[in-house]
Amino acid sequence: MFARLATRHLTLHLGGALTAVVSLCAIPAFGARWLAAHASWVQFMLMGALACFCVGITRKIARWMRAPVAFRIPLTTGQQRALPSIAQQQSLCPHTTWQVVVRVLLDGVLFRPLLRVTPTAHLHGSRLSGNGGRSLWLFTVAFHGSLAVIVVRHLRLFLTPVPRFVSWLQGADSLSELLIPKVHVTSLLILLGLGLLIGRRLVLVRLRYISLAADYFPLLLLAGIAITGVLMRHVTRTDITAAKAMVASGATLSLAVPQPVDTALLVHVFLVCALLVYFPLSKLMHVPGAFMSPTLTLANNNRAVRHINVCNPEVQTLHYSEYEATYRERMIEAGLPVEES
Amino acid sequence: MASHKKPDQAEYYDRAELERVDHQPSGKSWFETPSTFTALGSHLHPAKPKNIEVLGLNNAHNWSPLDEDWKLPEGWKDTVIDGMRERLGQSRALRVFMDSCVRCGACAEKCPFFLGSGDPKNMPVLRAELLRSVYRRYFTQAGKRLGKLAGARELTPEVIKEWFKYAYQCSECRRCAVFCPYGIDTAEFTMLARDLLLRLGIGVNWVMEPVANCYRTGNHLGIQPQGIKDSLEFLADELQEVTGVRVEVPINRKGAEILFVTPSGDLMADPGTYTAMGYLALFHELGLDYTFSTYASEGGNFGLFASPELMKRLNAKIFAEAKRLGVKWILGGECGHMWRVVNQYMDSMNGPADFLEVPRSPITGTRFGHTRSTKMLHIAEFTADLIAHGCLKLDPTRNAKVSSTFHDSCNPARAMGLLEEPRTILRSVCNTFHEMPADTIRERTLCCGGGAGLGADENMEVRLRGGMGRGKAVAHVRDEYGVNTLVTICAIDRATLTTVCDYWAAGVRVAGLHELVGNALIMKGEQPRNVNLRHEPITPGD
Repeated sequence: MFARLATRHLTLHLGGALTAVVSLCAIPAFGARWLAAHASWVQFMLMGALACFCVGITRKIARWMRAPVAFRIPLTTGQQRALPSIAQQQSLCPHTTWQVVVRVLLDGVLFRPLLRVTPTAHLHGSRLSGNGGRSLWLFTVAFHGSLAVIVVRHLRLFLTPVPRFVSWLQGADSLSELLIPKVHVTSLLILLGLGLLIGRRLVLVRLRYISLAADYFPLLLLAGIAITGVLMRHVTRTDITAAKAMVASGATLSLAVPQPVDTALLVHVFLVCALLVYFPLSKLMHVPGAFMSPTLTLANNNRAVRHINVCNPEVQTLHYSEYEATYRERMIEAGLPVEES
Repeated sequence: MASHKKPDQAEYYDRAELERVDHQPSGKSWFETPSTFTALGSHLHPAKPKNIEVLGLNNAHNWSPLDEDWKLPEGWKDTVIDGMRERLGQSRALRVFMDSCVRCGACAEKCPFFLGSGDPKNMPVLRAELLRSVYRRYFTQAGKRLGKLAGARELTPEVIKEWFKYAYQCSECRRCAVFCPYGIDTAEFTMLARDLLLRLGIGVNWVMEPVANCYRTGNHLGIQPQGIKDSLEFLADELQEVTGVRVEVPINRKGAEILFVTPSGDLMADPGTYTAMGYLALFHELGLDYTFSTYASEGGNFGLFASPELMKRLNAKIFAEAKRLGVKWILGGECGHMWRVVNQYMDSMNGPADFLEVPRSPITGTRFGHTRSTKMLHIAEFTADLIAHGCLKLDPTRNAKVSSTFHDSCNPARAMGLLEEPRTILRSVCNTFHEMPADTIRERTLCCGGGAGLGADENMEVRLRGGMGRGKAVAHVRDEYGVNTLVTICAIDRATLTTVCDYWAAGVRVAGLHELVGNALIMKGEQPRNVNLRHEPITPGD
């Protein structure tokens, strides 16, 4: 299988992404002492990254929003609302705003389109192998689901007192410790999910063919963040109170790096900053994209409610009078009614 | 390979050879794979200059895809980049789709043209990347600075050739979008590519000639008003022979309640003509107060396959004619992309239709509220409502020789959600109906191989490949259940699926839905019906 590799393509894109992530790890790893001594730089970096993230996303979404929805082009994946005798499939072919909300949640949050994969192979002989069928849905859920839980869990570092649902989630996530000591469910799942998402890009030939550095880089970056996170939590046992103190000091713009210097923590934070900066510039914009895609977010009430296209240019049309002028004699001869005889 | 056949004939192609599709890309990166054009069979003829000129478009010129130099106009690069900027600014869909794709590959093997060809650039994700790579180079910082590493590339004449090749190996069927987690609609990219190419005078004749015809004469085939009348009168004669009933064919009649618009292909070519006879029979039996129009004698709109402006220029005739004739509402016949235009564009482009009334069935009294703005109703909705109210006398045994399956046309299925209406009708007029496999129907329906302007004979190899999946699904129900008729509600389907079925599912023929309605419809004063609308005996065993 690897013999079919477009080697130069893979070298450029996987190599480029890997180099970038390794370099990003190296900076804080080797500069840990320096950073700890110059905490104001860490403060600056954090605030800068956060600003890049917020401003970048806002600007990108604003740019999307500035472009008008020229035409209402919903994608209908079920029965329309038309006749009383035929039931509408509301979440697949929404007609009202509420039905659109349900559709977008099912598609965007539960990744419903990825479940539609059914093998067409029996029609195409044995040659057509799928892209792993519904496994993509599974990998996607494993990754996005555990990422969501992990982000919520991190709230305990930012909020005092820690909200009950965060503690509850933390507890639920730690249930696996009954079986495997010191390991969170999500720690395993996110690494597994990321590994599989990277793996399918390498193993499936079609995926390898379409994958760019922009596909490997965020996965590797997230893997770096997850690995340092797991290391802190389960191996180097970062002092959670100290970490929380750092966050608190950062919030008052007087960031202090905890001593002794925790390299894993610094690398973790640095990579998160890189992710925040990178997010609005990249395909990670698929997160807002999933909720703003006109094909999914427009109701299929096209013939009921007129959609206004603000850039609806005047065009040259052939008026009926010009048409009749061309064919009048023939129309009269054929006994067709005319306006002017 | 049968050597006496030509590449524009299906028989030229060896089935086993076409089936030998390798879906695993190999060799160099797609950035380094040039687009090649073979002599015939795998590309469409370029648009004739006269068809570009009559529409007042730029750079009408003689060229061929086989040429080294496509004679792009001076400043072509700026034309393309400016055009892209203009369209990006006008369409949120394009903006979101440009930035959101994660190349997860969920769409990759869902494209009927990739399924049939194995050409990696037919994977919807790559089809979009062909444009997105240029977008990155000229519109994003990463692309400007990092170039290839950011998946960006220069716009070169080679890229133009590639766009041409793959924008015309996409039927804009939108199947890929169903599987995309963000609903990214590759048809939007294909439409963008075609639009930009047309600004350079690069179009295909099979699209631009119908557009030019439709602009001048009101229909794709270029039939003049007296020709429309002749065709309809001929169909009325045929219908009289079969049923013994003489039907009136109202044309350009002012004051009618309903304007009926259908694709012109159904007036001229089999098997569409049988569907048209079905309409005439149905409307007569209902005593419908309606009229055909010669000025708006085209439901279809090949402008959709060229640019939004051309689509608007052709579509404008329908509302204009409805206003001139003073009708109350519009009824539309069986057509695919016509309904994409009616359902998704017409009201925005050429509305508001405030001079019309909300369609109401004069027979059942049903008010079709879902069409209250556009005021245009689909014939399948109209007939399904009649059947739901028991307003039609039907004898399905007249279709006893028909063992049917239903092909969802891409546009009514994925751009309207018109799924059950035709099935309701089909079950009422035909006793034998078998669905094709679940992943090839309804919203996941496969392609006829010839939609969006790909249906010309010189493009035969592409058509047979694009229709392979559909053809095999038809063969599957033919072998499994003895299906012999593929029913569909699209004029392009009726033309292109006939080729696809003859090739991939021999023995299965294509019929319009209202052809079967016409067969089953019991008409007042009819003679004993011994033959169907095709003049074939209707009794099994005959």
